[in-house]
Amino acid sequence: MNSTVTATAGVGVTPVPPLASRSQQSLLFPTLVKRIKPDTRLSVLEIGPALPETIEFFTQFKCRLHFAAMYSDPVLQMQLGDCSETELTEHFSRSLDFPKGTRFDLCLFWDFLNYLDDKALRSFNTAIRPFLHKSTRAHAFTVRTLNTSFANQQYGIQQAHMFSIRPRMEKQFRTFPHTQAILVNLLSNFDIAQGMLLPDGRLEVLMSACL
Amino acid sequence: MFEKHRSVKQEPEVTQPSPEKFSAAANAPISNGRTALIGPGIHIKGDISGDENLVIEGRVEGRICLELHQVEVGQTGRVKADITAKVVKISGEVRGDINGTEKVTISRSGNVHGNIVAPRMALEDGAIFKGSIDMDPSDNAKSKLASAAKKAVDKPHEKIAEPAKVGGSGTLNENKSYTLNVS
Repeated sequence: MNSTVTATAGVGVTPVPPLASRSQQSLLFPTLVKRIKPDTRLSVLEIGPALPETIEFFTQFKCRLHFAAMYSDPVLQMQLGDCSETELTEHFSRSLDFPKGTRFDLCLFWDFLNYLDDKALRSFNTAIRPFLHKSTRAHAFTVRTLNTSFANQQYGIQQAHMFSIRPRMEKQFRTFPHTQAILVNLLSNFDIAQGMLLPDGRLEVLMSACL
Repeated sequence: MFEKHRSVKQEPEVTQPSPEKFSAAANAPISNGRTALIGPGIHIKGDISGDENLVIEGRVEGRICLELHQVEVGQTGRVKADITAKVVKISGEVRGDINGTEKVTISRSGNVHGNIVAPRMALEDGAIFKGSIDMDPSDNAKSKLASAAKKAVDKPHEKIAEPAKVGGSGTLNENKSYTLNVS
């Protein structure tokens, strides 16, 4: 990405999206945003990379924003080998090494869950469990049918109802699209609360923790 | 790259401020006229503290505490340390927590793994960051942006697809409605 875009938290500088970025409307994400109490301190997990517009968006909230950068994590390659579920869980636990006591109110999974095969998704579910609480909510993309493909892209938040989409610089790993039925089975910490079918066959879902 | 740091180094003339001016300079940091440079061939292990700005092009392991000044990690800089400074600019690699009492900037060539606490945070496109950022907007900004968020929520959207209600536990349920409560 060759751009001079900057996002400044705490001052009123609006980031200009890079030329390569596109936007995608979200009808569901505003529902989450609307229910955030402005005076409570929010703990947010962004499973992807830190993007200027996402940081800028969350400056409106009193929050701690955790960027896990999991799309560039070796686990995406590891799962293709002969790693056991235990080994994958241990790896996830090292990668998701958040400060003790961290409990996320909001998790932004984007399409990351579809880059994990069944075994890795179960491992992820186990590893993230200590960082959830009963009121944790999450946003993700899943699929209605298994022949839906995922583009090699990363997501940011421009506004509550508008995501930014940029091409990812890293190579695309193999995807393992999960229908919602399979997803809730493997990601047992969450249940799907609301879903919206998108024109490209993806399903935008809001999930709530079921611990 | 080097021109940039040369200019930083040269910026305010390297003159010793008078004693009267010195205390004022302490209150107006980043401008006491001095910038130290740790060159690309230097490797330091230990704590760094002091009363001038610092540009790091080499390797530092330990702790850096220049509370009233600016710390800049240049493109060749490799830092394994917690950094506390008034302004922190990262163009190189940092593994450690950063506390910027005024501002933290990660430029496009920056690569940071650690936690950041700062009232102002700038991330250039292309920067790599893994860790957490603590944000606590002022009341002013909070109310301004919260109203913007509410506006966005209430804004009517273009229809992008036929909505399909999705039921819990993997079943489609056209008639079921759901409520989310984020506490």
